[in-house]
Amino acid sequence: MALELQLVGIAYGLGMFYFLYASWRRHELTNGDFYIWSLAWFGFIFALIFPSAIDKIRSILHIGGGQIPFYTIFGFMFLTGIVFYLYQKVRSNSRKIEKIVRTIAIKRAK
Amino acid sequence: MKKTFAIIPAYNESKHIRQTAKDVAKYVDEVIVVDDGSKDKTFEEAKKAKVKVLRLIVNMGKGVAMNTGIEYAISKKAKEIVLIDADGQHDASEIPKLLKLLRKNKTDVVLGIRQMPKNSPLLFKLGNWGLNQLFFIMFGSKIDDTQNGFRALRAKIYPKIKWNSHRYFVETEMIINIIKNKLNYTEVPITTHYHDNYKGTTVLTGLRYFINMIEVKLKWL
Repeated sequence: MALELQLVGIAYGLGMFYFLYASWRRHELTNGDFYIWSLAWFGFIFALIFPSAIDKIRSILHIGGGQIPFYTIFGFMFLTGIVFYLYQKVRSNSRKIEKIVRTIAIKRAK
Repeated sequence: MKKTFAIIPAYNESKHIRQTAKDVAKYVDEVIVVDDGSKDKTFEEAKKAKVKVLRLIVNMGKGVAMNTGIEYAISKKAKEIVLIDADGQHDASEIPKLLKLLRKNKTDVVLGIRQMPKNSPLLFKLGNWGLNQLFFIMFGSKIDDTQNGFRALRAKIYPKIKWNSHRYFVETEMIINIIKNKLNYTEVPITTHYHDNYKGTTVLTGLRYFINMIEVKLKWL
């Protein structure tokens, strides 16, 4: 993997970890959220510093053509997972808001 | 004891809501206007009609306003519920006709069927016809107007037909739930007056309906 690409990726991973840490310090995230996302970002940084570490996984999954296809596949899986998670959260929050709005309307009327 | 309640969901209908509420009040025991977070004076105008007015603090959609109104009515021991639009497009004097049918032959729901004005846009007529045909193909029941908001129902069936839709699809979802629960329904022609600019089905709304129908059908399977 090109050194420049590794450096950009590492800087991105560290930047994202900083935002994660700042959110956690402001109590916007739970400890569980912080640990899971820390693992994800440090895993990302580790894979960039030691690209050969993922060769074993690539060979087990028969993903040829270098490391880029591996990152593309797993990146896409990760993103679709996040999109679904956010969709579910938005729906759930929407239901909660609906319940609150309805309760307020009925309470005020009585 | 009051038993027949009318629910009027209203969003930005300050021009018509007072008159609509007054007209409806002549034919039912109690009128409940649910102001769906309007930005205009709908709430104040509805109050002037001396009817019960519930206010949703943010705009949640017609489906939520209807659910809220019905749940309030049921908490006040409602036996029959009339649903009618706030924009004055329905003729309140036809409420007795719907209620008469509701009381007859153990009917659970009476669905108003709009008679399309001759000058309705062709796209509107085609859109409504297409959606009704699609409804028939997907749910096997021929309903002449799946999107009309003028209806009467027995309060006790509400838990069975309660909808999740917030907006455009609410009337159709109600009918789907009626069919799914094998409830008795009757259709009756009603008069429609369009006062404002046309606010009916657009191509995009039709597409949303189609997607919503697939969603509900998948849940049904």
